Amino acid sequence: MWSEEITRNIQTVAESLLREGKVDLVLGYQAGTSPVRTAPAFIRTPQEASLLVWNPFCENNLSVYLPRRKERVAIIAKGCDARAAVVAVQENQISRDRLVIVGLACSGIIDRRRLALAVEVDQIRGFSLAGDSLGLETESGGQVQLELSGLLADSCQTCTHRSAPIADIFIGQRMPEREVEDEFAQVRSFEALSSQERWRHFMDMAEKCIRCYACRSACPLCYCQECIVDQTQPQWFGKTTATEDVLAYHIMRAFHLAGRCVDCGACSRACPMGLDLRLLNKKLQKEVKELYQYVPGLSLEEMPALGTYRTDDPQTCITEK
Amino acid sequence: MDTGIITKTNLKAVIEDLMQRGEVVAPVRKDDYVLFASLPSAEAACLDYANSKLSPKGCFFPQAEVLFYYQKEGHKIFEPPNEVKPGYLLGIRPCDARAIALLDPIFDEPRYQDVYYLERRKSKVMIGLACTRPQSTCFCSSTGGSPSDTTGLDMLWQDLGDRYLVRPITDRGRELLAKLPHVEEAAAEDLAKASEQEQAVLAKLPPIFSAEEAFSRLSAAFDDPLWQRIYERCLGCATCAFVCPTCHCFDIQDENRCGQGRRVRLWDSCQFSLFTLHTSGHNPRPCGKERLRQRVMHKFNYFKVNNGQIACVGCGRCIRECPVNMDIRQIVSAYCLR
Repeated sequence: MWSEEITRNIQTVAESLLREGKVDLVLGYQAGTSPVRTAPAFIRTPQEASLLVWNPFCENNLSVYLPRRKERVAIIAKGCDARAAVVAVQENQISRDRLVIVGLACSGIIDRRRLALAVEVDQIRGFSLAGDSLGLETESGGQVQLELSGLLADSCQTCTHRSAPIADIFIGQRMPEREVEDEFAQVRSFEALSSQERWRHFMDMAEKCIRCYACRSACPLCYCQECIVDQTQPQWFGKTTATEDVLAYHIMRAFHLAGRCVDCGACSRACPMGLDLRLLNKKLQKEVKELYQYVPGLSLEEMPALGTYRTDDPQTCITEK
Repeated sequence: MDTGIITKTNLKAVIEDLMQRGEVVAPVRKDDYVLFASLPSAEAACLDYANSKLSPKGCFFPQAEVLFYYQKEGHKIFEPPNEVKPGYLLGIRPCDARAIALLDPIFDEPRYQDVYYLERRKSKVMIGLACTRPQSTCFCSSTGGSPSDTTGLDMLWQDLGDRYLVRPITDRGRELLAKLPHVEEAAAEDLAKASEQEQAVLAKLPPIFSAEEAFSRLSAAFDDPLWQRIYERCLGCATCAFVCPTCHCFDIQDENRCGQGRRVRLWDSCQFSLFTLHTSGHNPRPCGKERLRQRVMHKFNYFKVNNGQIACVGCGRCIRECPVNMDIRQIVSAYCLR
């Protein structure tokens, strides 16, 4: 949840972790260049801890900064951020003993595009929060009241782990989970479309993508030192904006995240062209969950779905159809 | 006629007239944003917009283009089909037109003339649309431009509410004005209103720094330890470069299949590690610090050394679209404030 008390607690925790020398760096959020944006903050001194903010504009998954980091680092983590951190630890991208997860409960973050459809974002001068209500002050001195629940990012609407499942320090209270009737409803309705309709969706995706790789860069689990799409000897992927080249990249990325993606939605929020990149990932989450009853990022002990093998694993995905 | 007026009731007819004369590329709504595209109908033009999601540079410098096809046997080269259609680029914002003017000397210089760019560039009469609604991320007044800048334009339109003031800038623009239907002579009050509006818009854009100041401060900044702090947050994607109206670096690839293939030119970005990776495996820009510095320095320093002007027009797209809210105004200001 969002409150000034939680913001103060985040600052206090960050300040003491740095002052006591327990970490070298705290990854958090600071005010952005517009009142309705935040930016990732790299806090290295106790004095800087006062820069930290906590509000529904904290949209980035800060675990993206963890892989290969050598410093001892504390991360301010919503449910999805903490889950990504857990996967990063499981996959040896960061050592658990150098990581302090400062867990929080999150009632969902605001999708910038949804906000822009509801209000002239450029006119906003400030905001206030009260329960589910987002109050916006406009340039002309006016006030606009919006319901937070109507502005949430897609990933937040079906979120099933709002509180960091694993945390060294937890700030505030763990939240009861949202009542999500069917986490995979969007996938099911997509699956129900005719092949032509699904094809049209992929064509539309291919047409809009500009291959800036913001999805890959914002993803906390797309951390390969050399992405396969960048390999040149041999070059596996065409680099043009032709349908086959664009889709090959997106399909490859989705498969690479199968059984690993924590559905934070960072890819979709990073996309400048508004692609629903989550859909492919969500489909594979569904497959992994149904086949192996595995949900990534919840446990450090459990082996990742694709990192283990059981003799009673279902074979249907290999032998049928 | 020095300055004309097109009333909005006649806009459709004027665009239709332009479409009769040639291809009209204009801002078109796509989902919840606007992109430049060849108009299928006059109604599709969206002139009531802040700015397009992607800059119109792609009209002259497409993201991916075939330079030629080849066949190894007989060493044959085939030119790609010429898809360039003469016509108009309508509704381009002054910042973006200025950007095109900055790209011109890159693709047309004494040693080398890029026929692909130049043919497209020459094919279009540039009809600008003065900016009356600057966004919170706009900073053209800090980079040498203005909401009514005419650089790179043949003609500038200004939205006066129920009408457009139409100012020809070049001979091409004057010729077009003479041919356009439904153009009335602008009255003194139209001109007065336009000038008043221009001042009001400019007042909303107080300069943050000057191009000159940015250039000279950055001249001494290459080894500044500040880059270390600035770059950390950058994710190393190319959103900033691909939405930028002046970023123009490209990659050239041969797509070869069984002795035949094609050579393609693709947008590239200095933010990618692959951009400077040597065959040996050495990378002279090993991490984000060097890459981000390159982008900022190229815009505000190197480009001016090479071409006399800075290569940022203050459109603010990189700020709006950056997934982690990197703000080039803050980066340059950090050096200007030192």
